[in-house]
Amino acid sequence: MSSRADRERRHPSDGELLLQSAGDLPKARATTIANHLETCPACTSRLASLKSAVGEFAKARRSALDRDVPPPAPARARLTDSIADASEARTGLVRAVEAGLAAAAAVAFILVATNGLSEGSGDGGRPDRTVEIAAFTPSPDLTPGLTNSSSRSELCAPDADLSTTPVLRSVALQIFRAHGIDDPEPFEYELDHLVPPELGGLTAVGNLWPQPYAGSRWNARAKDALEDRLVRLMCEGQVPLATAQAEIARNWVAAYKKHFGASEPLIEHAAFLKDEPWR
Amino acid sequence: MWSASRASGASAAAMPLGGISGPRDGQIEAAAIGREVTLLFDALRTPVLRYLMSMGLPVADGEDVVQDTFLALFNHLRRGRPRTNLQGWTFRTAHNLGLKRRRAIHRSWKSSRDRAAAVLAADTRPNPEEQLNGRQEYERACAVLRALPERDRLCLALRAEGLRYRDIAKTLGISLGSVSKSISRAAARLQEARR
Repeated sequence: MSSRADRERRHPSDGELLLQSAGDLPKARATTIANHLETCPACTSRLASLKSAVGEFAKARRSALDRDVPPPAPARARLTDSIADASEARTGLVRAVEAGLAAAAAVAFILVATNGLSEGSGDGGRPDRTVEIAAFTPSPDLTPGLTNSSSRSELCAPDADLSTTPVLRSVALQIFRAHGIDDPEPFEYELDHLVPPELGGLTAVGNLWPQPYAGSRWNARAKDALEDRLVRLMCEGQVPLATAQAEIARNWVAAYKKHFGASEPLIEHAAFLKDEPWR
Repeated sequence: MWSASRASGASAAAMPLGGISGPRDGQIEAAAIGREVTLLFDALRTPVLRYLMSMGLPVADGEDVVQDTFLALFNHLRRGRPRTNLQGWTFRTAHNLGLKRRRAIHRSWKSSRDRAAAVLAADTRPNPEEQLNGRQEYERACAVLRALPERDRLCLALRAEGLRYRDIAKTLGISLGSVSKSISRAAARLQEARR
């Protein structure tokens, strides 16, 4: 048996350094390596240079391959056709499904347009960024974010019961209406706890808001990824519970940028799904 | 958070919580899942296509595989299969379908060995007119990586698309340790080449 100090003195392998920085190591080992890095400039700089080699490769690869990537619109149209065919084969209710998919295609078209704008060429053009972000964080009047008095140890206990009571449909519809959505489409929103239950957030009107999956990259998937990260940081003791609650309630987009060190949602979060969609 | 049940798909759509009942369930559900799949397509199509190009598939074949992948995703969701980590699921499926397609191309082009070799030299489609900076840098990197096992290159390509290590492991069906070794080996080689 080696002591904790021994383990922390030993230099981790390149592979372990990379896993640690990506948050893919088990908690105990991650902590050991984090402690080691604090006192070992050699490993810190080795990790930085490994990461920069991968990062630069990723950038060059993307710019080289993207020249050959055709625009997505024809491929997307082909996909919606195939989905219509597949639905038809399963349900035999051709017309209704096609009508539904036509609506989906219309939504899709708008999305393509906005995606095209926001992806543009690099960082140029997005003059309305603040407007866009404002629309994807809830109004503090309607959703200030409410929490219970659970402590960190209660929330992080392995047997902590974080299940929430389902929200009554009538209450949910009221919340949607308060946010100006009269007829919410199923699967388009998450009825999101602004402060998640894992951080002591209450299932109450002042903590629930309809968060769209579409329309912005600052969507429910990005927020789910942030929740996952904040809960981990809080349970590891790296961020105090009160700070985590305040950060996510005040401006989750700012909190995302801070904790992922990114000015835009990361692509790996594009399909992140923690909570169920509203339906 | 809305539904107490983590289950999804047909059974969930028929639950009274959804406020939907009767014969229209199937259509509404198909349309909703179709929408969800097109949203995921918007987010993931280009990363997945780039990965398939890194596997050495020509763009047109890559696009076919992307179609098959997202159609499979639609069917997966319609059957009420798990929806956790759909990004990982999508890359894994694309990888497997991509391998199949690559084998088929290889078979059909056996008679013309040069063309097959051109396709299978992963990550390099020669195009001398387009030797611009980014491409040059990328091709230099590919030349450096060519000496490594293909698994290392695929791990690196998936990491470059932003996948987590554990998702890369699942996509390629290898251990987390192998993934981190592959990527650190590739990164070390790239570093050496830069010096």
